[in-house]
Amino acid sequence: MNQPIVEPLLDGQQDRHSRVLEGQDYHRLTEQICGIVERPVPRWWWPAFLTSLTTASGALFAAAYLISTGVGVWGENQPVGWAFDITNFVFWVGIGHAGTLISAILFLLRQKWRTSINRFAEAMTLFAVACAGVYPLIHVGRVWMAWFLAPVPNANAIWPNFRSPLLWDVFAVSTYATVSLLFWYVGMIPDLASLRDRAVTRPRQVIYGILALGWRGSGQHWHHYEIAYLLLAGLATPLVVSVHTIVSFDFATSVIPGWHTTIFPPYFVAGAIFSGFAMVLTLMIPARELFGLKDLVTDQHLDKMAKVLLATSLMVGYAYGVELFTAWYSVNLYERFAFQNRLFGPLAWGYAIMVLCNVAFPQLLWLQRVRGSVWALFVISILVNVGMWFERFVIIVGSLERDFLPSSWGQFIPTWVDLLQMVGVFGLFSTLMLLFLRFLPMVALSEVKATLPTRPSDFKAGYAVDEREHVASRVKEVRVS
Amino acid sequence: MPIIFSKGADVLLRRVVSVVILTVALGTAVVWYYFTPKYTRVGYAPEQPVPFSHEQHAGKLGMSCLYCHTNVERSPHANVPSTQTCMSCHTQIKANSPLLSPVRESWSSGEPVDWKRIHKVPDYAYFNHALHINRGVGCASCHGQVNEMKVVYHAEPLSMAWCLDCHRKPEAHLRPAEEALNMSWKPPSEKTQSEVGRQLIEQFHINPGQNCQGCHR
Amino acid sequence: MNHCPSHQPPKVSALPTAVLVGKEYWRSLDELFDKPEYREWLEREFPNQASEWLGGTVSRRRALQLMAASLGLAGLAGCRRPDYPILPYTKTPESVLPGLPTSYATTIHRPGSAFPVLVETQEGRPTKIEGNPLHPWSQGATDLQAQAAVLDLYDPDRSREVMLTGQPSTWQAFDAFAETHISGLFERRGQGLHFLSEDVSSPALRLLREHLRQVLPEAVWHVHEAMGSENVDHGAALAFGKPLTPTYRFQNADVIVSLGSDFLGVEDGAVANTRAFAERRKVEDSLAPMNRLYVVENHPTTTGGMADHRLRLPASQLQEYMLALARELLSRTRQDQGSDNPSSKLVKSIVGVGSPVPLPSGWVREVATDLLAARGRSLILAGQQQPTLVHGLAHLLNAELGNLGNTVLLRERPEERIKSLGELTESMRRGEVGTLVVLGSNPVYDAPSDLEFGVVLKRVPHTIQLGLYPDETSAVCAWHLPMAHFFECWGDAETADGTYSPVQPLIAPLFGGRSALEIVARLCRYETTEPYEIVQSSFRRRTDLGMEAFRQFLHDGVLHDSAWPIVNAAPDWAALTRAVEEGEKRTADVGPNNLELSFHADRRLFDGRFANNGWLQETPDPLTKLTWDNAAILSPATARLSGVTTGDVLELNLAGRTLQAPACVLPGQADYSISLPLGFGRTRAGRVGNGVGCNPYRLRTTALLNMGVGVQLRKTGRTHRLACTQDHGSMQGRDLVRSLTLQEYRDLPAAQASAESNSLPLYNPAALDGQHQWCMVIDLNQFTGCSACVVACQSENNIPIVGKDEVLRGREMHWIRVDRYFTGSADDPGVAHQPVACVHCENAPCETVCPVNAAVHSPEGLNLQVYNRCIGTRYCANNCPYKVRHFNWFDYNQRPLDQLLAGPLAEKGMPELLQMQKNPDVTVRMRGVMEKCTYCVQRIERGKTGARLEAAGSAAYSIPDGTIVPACAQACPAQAIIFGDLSDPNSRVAQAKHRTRNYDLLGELGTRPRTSYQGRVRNPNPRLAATELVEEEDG
Repeated sequence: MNQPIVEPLLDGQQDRHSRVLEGQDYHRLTEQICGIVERPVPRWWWPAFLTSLTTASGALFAAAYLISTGVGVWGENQPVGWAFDITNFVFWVGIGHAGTLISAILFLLRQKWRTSINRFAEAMTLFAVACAGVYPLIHVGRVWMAWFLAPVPNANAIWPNFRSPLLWDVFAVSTYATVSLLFWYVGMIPDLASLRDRAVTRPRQVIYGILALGWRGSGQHWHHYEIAYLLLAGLATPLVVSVHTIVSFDFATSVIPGWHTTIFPPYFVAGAIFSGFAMVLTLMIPARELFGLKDLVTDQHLDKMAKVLLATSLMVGYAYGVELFTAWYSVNLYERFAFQNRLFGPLAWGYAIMVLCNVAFPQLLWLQRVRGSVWALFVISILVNVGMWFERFVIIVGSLERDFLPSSWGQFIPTWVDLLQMVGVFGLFSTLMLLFLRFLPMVALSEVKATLPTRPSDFKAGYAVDEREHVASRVKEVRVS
Repeated sequence: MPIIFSKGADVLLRRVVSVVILTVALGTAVVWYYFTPKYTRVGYAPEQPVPFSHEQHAGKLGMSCLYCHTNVERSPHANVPSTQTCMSCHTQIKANSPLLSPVRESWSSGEPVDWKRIHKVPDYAYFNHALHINRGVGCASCHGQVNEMKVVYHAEPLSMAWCLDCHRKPEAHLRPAEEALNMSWKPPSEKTQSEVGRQLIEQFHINPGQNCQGCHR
Repeated sequence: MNHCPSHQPPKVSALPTAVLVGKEYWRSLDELFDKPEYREWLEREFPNQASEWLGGTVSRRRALQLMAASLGLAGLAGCRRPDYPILPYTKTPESVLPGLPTSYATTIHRPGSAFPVLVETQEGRPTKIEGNPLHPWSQGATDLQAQAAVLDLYDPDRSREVMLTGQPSTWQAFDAFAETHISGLFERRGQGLHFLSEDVSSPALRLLREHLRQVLPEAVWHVHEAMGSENVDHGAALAFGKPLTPTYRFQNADVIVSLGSDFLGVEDGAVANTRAFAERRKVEDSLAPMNRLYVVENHPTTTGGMADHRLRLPASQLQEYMLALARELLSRTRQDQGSDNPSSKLVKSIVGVGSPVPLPSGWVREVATDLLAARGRSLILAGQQQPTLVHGLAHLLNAELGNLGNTVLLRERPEERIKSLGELTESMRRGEVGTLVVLGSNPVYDAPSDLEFGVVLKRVPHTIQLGLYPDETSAVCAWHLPMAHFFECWGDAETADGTYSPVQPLIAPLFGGRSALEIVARLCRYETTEPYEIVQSSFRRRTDLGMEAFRQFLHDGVLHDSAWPIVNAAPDWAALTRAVEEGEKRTADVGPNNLELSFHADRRLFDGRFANNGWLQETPDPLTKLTWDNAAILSPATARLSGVTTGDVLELNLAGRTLQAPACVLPGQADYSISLPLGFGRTRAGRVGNGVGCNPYRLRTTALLNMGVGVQLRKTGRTHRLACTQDHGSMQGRDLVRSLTLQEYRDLPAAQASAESNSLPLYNPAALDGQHQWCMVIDLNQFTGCSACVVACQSENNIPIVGKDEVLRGREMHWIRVDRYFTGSADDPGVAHQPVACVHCENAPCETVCPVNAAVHSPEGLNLQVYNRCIGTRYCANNCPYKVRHFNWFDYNQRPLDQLLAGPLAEKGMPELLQMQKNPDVTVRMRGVMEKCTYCVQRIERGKTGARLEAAGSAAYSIPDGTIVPACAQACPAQAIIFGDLSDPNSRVAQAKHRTRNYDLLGELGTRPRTSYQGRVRNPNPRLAATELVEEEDG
């Protein structure tokens, strides 16, 4: 009975098999995912959450100190006007790419394997973008004047400078955040509805009820839903490319050797996807262990992601090579020096870390054995995160430290505030992530179900029946206990 | 499925949403209007230690602005008259009026009269009275019809946008330089203001700066 | 009195700051004016007397009330609440317009000399100092210290009240004491009364001294200067029999040989020297005659930086070189004569002294040849601190070369019996000193340590010290009297050549100080204690001119042609020969095992008197680029020898005295020679100067006054963080400072004019349709690196200091960065200075990237930074190829520098006094905004407004070239900075742009900078160059 029947879907045998494991069916799936939200919190959750929260409050404190005292509390100086702030901004925006890529692009490409990880990735995207958003705001000298960036009519009759890439950033990132949020939320509505229907306590019923926007799963609902989802996917897709392209303009349009290069847009986008997938892996691997989702997020998924990782790593590696070549080929004194300095200058160690983590180690992914080993993947994904952080650091700080006039060369030394700010924002990220895991369905139920094979039994005992039985049993449980 | 929400829930939801939207819109509008100099400054008329009436002096008596604001033609800022200036008349006229006692005290003590400041631009904005007067911008253009004010009040916003309006369209406000101090100057009947303005611009190559350097240093 | 050109329009006198709270401002100032000295001002001195200036009767009494008013006009921008008060005057002054800056001519005393200045006052507050264009000693230019003097006036650490043995007292108390005490002295004809003053060259003081000699014949006057010019006098006395004062005419000199003389740097008259010297360096066309400068010195100096040939010799060997040069020259000038002529005797005696140390062969022969070729047009200079014999020989050679009367003028000044500090200490030891009056001097800090002045001073029963600060000496003296700053009192002064100039007060004494004249007059019961009257009578004595002339004198700030008479004198060969024979024989030669230590005045703090001046402390030393520190300077070779690197703390042991000092390895320092700048390590200078750097005076003794051989050097193992503003001295093969030899310059085809940068801007370039197109040219051939421009800019533009910690972080705020590059070999490099401020790119990278339009371009080609629009993204600074933008990382103007990190917990607000110094025409920036050079836009606008007002009623207006001068150009002694209107083809700047050595810095980036540079031209002696080359190859 559990023998799955071949479904005439796009996926090949292999793929279907990997997705549909023995004994998987609608009910078990619902139980599994909703259960995570409904069952009492696992023992590890509270410690984890409190730690993250404390760390996050560190970021708050650092920011408060910064704003009340002056940007001087950071290590930045003349000539290094940007350091940890913009490094982390670019880093987080980069992370924020995987989500939308997986959801939107893979959706349009009908890559059904995405269904079990896209929700998770989208959530990660949102939180990453939120973290990124912190930096551009607090890094300015007079935060209280930041509204000058907004193109609103004012008593000074001045507009922002639309030539400035920094302004483009403001629009690019905020658009991206908005669309990602919508995409994530819309996709979640049916699942919120099932959470609502399974809820036994009043508060949960109300909250999920409101969030579900009165979803009843009617044909019409599904119809609208599909259209909306498709449109949003279409809308989100170009953003994946545009955001980091524009972020890269911050540097590409400048005159500073090491920044001023045309390869940045593709280079940055590739890097962003690279780091994004790495982060998904870093988070997904422990998550599937902790919540026992091995049968949903299967080794096949990890394998696929590993391959993406390998591909993007090669692109990034290529970019590194081309950079050096162009510098040499340009016969430009300053360009050449900038890259000599990158390789052998004060930040050479940073460059080394970046190349090792982003290009060297990922090559291991050629090996089936490595892709098959969860631990190897986990370690590599973390290394890639580190490497990508250093890439941004080396590009930003390294180039600023030594540009045209040797007399103005300087050095950047981070202060405790720099570090606290950075660590704190990681804390913020994990806080949000934990909340998500706790209160929202971390796998897109409806989508996964849609890819499950259909069996006669499912038509007999439909979705609703299934749910009613469940509620009845839950109520009994509650009474007993 | 359990019934969670009452029938009215949808309506309620809609109402809540629309209220939120309205509040936001209203808030924006409020800020937009009330946080601008147009509102915060115009109409400001503090009580002065001495109820000095410009209407009386500049209007009825027809005294020239220069009698008190002596430097306005030469100096970046029009000075506030010294006690001496007041006393030069008020030793004879209304010599014992109780209203003038602060002036007399100041005269005897040497301590200045504590007038309240009405018109002022930010410190980072450098305005030059002499230049404007000499190029034919009348007192009234910025200070309003002071000669009709019993109590002087803030007549114009003096906001940057307001300055720029004139710097972009000077013809709307220019007058012959010698008429600058004339509070009741009107363009000659056969001409409109903008005609007069354009002619003056032509004649004196008046080209008001619109770049930051003119006012911000 | 107004020195501003007549059409100079009034200034805007809004208060300079966007962050001050208006109320507090005027209120507290009011309180200030209610202080007695304010009343005093109304009654006393400068209001009434100075009103007798040209233009007749102005009651200056009113200027004050005026002040209150314009200050009242200060306040914050604002919405209708709270109310802002206006303080008008009670009585109206006729002549003064609020907002109109007025300049007065006055003079700053310098050791044995003076520096004439114009002081710009804003409603009674001195705010800016310029040189006095009518005075030959300045010709409108200034040096670092003169620019910074205005900050001392407002120094909160200045002594504020009379102190008696550390307890607050009053002037009344002192006057009472003085009366009784003096009458006692009068009975004893002044027995036991000793005065100790700085070397103040003031006729008025001389007048009082004469009176003193009559009424108190037994009283003795001593003079002490740490970096005095005794050797110069003794040298002249040796050479000519009497202490004639040499003054130099550099404009007439084709060949100049300087022996340890920093005549373009710290030595007296440097400003005038620089101007004259630069005259012969501004090769406007390639055929213009250019002088040649040889410098022999042990530590790199400003002068050495300008040298065409520089020889590094240990200080102790300069005399050897002098002897060698003398022998070479004399044997060649007088070779035709017999052996019994004075010259050959001298030569013999020189040979007798023993063979001089081996000197680079060319350096004696070729230099001599060059000098002989330029008889009457050459000049040999000995540094002020050089031994007497060197001075004597220099005079002799100048005479021999026929330079007397051409490049060297000898002046005879009235002689006076003055005793030294040494003699004072002697009589103090013998207990002969009953009463010691110290006027301004600070011997406890800067006397040679073997005198133990501080200890001996305690034996004196009655000690009175008059000082600007409660300093090291006042700590030991019974009475401490606050001295009036020279901007607060009447006086007069003479420059070293005797040119007579007045000292007039510009503001009433802020802390009720008195001048030295008052004190002395009171103590010697002179007919009046009123300084103004004393000055008048000294004026009458010095000239036979009347009151009218006196007014002119005050107005001009100089008595024209009042220099000492020029005399002819013949060298005394016999005396010199004797001197050479008796001259102490050189003991051990300086070498790896026998290091030498030399002391020299610091280029910023001089001998330490300026130690509490933040501007000077933070000005980077032109050579070492150090701020907030002094260091033991070693050559790379010496450093390698003793395994020392920059920052190591060394223990120096000279003749049993030890001092710990951080090391600073500096290319160009003579090998085996360590040099220490004086002036640091003050213990009671004030909050700024206390404990900054180390105090070399502790090693300095009467015997080893300027240098000592055989210093022991030990590494303590500790290190010290030196706040150096430039870490990289190499140009990395980039043509940043372009230089060429005179010959190359002459061969340069006119076609090779500065490469026009062909830029393809991404956006439409800013419309440059203004009536004027401002631009600047900086001539690197005249630029000496003296850094007067840096401080001038700081004072004009309200630039804050940031303190050592911030400099260490690389956050100094100076709008002008004087870059110093080394060229050539690592051990014996050439030095190139290049001032870099915002170059106002026509195609500016900063403008496109600013998201809020705070960096914008004006139609007149200015690259504007609008503070009130800036939100501080720092993108502009990142994208600036010249890195000339400076960010306000903290509230430098509002918070104490030691509490920057305390943020909101630190106390807020700028000290009252410092507010008074600020230039009301320039916004004081708050934290979080970017700032940079504006080409002094406030001066440009002032000039334009003036021209417009003049042209009122007519159509067009024009601004004559040279009317608008930025602070840096105005201060520059070398006139290296030219500013003007490019659209006027006849302007100096437009002319300069067409020279072949004009080039744009980083022009290839297509930024099209408005500031361009003129390549450096060197004028080496080909034959010497050849020999040097050979020697380099040898090893």
